[in-house]
Amino acid sequence: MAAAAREIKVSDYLAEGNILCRMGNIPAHEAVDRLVSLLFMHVGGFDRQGAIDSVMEREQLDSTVLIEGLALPHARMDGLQQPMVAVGLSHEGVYFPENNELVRILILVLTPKSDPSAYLKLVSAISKSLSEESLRLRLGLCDTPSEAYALLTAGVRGIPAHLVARDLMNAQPVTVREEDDLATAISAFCVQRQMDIPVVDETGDIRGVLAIEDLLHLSLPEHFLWMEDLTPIVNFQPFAELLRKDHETKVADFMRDRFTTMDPETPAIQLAKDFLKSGVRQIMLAENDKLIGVVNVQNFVAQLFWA
Amino acid sequence: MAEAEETTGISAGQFIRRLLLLLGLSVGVGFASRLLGMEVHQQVATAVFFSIILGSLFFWAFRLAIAFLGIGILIVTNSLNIPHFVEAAALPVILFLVGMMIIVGALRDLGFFTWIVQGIISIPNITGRKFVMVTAVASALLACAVDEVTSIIFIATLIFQVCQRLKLSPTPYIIICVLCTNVGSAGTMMGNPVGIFIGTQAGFSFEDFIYWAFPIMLVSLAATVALTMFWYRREMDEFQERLKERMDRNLSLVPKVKVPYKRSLFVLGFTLVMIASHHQLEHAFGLGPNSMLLVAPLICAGVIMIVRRQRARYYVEHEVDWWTLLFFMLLFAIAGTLEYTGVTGVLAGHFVKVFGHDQRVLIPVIMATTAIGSAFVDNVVFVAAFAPVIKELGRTVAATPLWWALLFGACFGGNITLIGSTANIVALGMLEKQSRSTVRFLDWLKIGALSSLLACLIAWGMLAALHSYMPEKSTAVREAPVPAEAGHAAAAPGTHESGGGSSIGLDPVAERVSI
Repeated sequence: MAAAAREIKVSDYLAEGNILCRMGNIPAHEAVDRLVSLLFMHVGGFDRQGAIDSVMEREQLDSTVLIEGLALPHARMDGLQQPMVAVGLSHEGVYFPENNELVRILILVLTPKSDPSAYLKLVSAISKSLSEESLRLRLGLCDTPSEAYALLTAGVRGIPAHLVARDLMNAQPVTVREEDDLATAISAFCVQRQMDIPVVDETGDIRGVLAIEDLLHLSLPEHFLWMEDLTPIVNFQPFAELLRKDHETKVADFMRDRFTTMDPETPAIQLAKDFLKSGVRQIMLAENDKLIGVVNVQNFVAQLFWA
Repeated sequence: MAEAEETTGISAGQFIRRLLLLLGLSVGVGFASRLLGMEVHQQVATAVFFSIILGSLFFWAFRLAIAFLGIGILIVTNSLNIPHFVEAAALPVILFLVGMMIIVGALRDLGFFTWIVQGIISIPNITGRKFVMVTAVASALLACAVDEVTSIIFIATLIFQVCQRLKLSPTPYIIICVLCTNVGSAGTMMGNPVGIFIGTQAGFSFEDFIYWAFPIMLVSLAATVALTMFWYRREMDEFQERLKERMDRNLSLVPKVKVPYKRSLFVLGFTLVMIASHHQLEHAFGLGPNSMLLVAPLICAGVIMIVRRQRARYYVEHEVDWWTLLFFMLLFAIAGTLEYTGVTGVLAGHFVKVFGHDQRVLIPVIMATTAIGSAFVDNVVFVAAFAPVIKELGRTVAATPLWWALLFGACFGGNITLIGSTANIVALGMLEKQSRSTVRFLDWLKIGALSSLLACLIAWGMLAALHSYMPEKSTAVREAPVPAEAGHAAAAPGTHESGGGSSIGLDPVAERVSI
C-alpha cells in the first residue's frame, strides 16, 4: 500500500530568518521587493529582479489579498528546487493599491514552475493554519520574527494556569539610547507607531522612559498647562523651532528618569490592575535593572482575549 | 512631595528613636518648666507645644498627627477647654488663607501666572543678568501679592524651563529666587501666613504693612538681589553667555504667544483693592478692626465660585491646602493654650527681666531669636509661640516695632537654612524632581545665613531709625471686650495661679485675642 502523502506545513518551507516584522506603512511593491531580497539573501538560487517582476505581474492580474489584512503574493519561477516562503508583518499595514487595502500579513510564496501543485498545496496549508482569526490578529501584532515563527509553526498556545508578565511580554521592544537625538525619537514614535519607548544604555540597563506626550511637552511649556482654557491662544506654532534643532536635542533632555519596572514573574492580574488604576499604557519588565521586555495594554488585551 | 519622601525615608528604628527623643525632651521640658514657677497645666501646655516644635523637626510628615494628639492631651488634662480651643484656633485667619488659595487657583486657571512668566521671558533685549534680576524681583513681588509658596512654584517652573533650554544647572538661580521670595513675603499680609497672623494679633491694617513693612522689604530685597548675584557671579556669567549664544542663533526661550490675561488681572486687582481698602470699609460700615480684611478674600472667592461655578468644587477640593491649614489651626490653638494657661506671661516676665524694656535691645533680640528659631522650625510655629509674649511686653513697652521685628525675623530667618521656610522645601523638592540635583546643607547655609544676616541688619537699622515714628496700635487685645465665657475661663486651670505671669501683673484671661 502506498504511504499516505505527508501533509505540507508552512514550517517546512519557512525559516525564522525569512520573517520581516515592523515593515511599516509601505507600498506593496516595496514590501515584495524586501521579502524577495530576504529570500535571495538567505536561500538564493533564483533571479531576484525576475522574481519581483513575476510577483508584481501576478498581483496586477488579480489581487492576492485573500481576506482582510492577509495577502499571499506569489509567482512560479524557473530553476527553483523547492518552494520558498517569506513572511512580512506590518502594524500599520502595507498598501495594496489594487484593493485599496492595508494588509498586515504578507506571505510571499515562490514555487518551482516544474511542480504546479506545490503552490496549491502551500496555499492550502497556509489557509488552514491561518484560518483562525485570533491567530491572524496575534500574528499581525508580533514584534519579533521568533514570536511570529512560533505562532506560525506551533499555533496559539493555551493560556497557562498562572499567567505571568513574562508570558505576555514583547521580548524585543523598540528602545532608544540617552544619546540618541530628537529625530530618532520622533522616528520611533511616528514611523514605528510607539507610544512609550524604554531608554536603555549600552549594557541594556534601563535609564528612563519616553512617552509620546514627552515629545508634545517639549514644545508645550509647563506654564501654558497652568491655564484651564487654552482656546484663546490661536497663534501657537512651536514646532518649527523644535524641528530646527532636533539634532541638538538629545533623548536625555526630555526623557522621564523616574520610572517603575516589574518583575517578569509578576502575575498578569497585577498588570491588569496597574493598567486600570495607574493609567499606564506600557509596563517595563526588568531583572537587575536590565530590560527584559515590555507589556503594553494593547498586546496584553490581544493575548488574553484574542487567544 | 517632601512629605511623602520623608514618610518613606524613615526606617522603623529611626522612627522609634526619634519618637522616644521627642517624648523624652517634651516631658523633660514640661518638668523643667516647674523651675520657672509653672503649675501643672502650664507644664502640660509647655510640653505639648515643645512636642509640636520637635514634631515639625523630626516628623515633618506627621506634624498634623502630633498636633491632633497635642490638642487631645490639652483637652483631656483640662489645660484647654473647647470654647477656648475654638477661639484660639484663629478661624478667621484660616478662612482668609482658604479664600486666598481659591483666588490663586482661579488666577492660575485664568492665565495670570502664565502671563507673568511669558512676560518675563519676552522682555526685549534680555540678558542673563537682567533675566535673573527680574525673576528674583518678580518672585518677591508675587509673594507679596499671593503668597510665597505659590510664587516660588511658578517662578521655579520658569527657571527650570529656561535652564533646560540653556542647558544650565538651575540650582543657583533657584536659590536666588527662593531667598528673594522669603524676603518679599514680609512685604504684605498675604505674603506669608505669619503676616496675616501678626497683622490680626497686633491690629495692623493692610496700610500699616504697606507703610512700614513694604519699604523695609524693598530695601532688604535690593540688598539680597545684589548680594546673591555677586555670590553667584560665575553662574551669572555662564547664564549671560548661554543666553546670548541662543539669542544670536535666533532661538527663543519659549514659543511666543499672546496670553489672555485681562480677566485674571481684574480678579487680582479686585481682591487687592478689597484688601487694601479694608480699613476705610470697616470705618464706613462700623465694623471691628480687620474684620473686612479677613473676609475680603472670602467675598472674592465667593464671587469667583459663582462666576466659575463649574470649577468651584475643584478649587475648594484641590486648590486649598487643607492639610497645612488644619495644622495651622491646631497650632494656633496649642499656642493659644500657652497664653490661656499663663505660660506666655511667665515667659514675658523672664524676657523683660533679662532684656529689660529698652526697644533698642528688644528689637534685635526678638528679630535674632525669631530668625534663628525660624531657621529650624516652621516660622508659623515660632511666631504663634512668640506672639503672646509680645502682647505681654506690649503692656509695658510700645509693641509695634516689636511686632515688625517678629515679622522680619520670621520671614528673613527662613533664608538661613534649607528647611527654614515652606518655600525652600517646595523649591528644593521641585529641583530634585526636575534636575535630580540636591543642595547640601552647608552650601545653602553659607549664602542663606549671609543674606539673612544682611536683610535682618537692614530691617533692624530701619526699625531702629523709624520706631519712634510708629504709632502705637490699639490692638484687638485691648479693644476687644472680655468675652462672655471669660467667667468660665477665669475658673479654668492655670489662670488663677499664673506664676511668673504675675511678674508684670497680668491676668492671662483678660488679654486673650479675639480676631
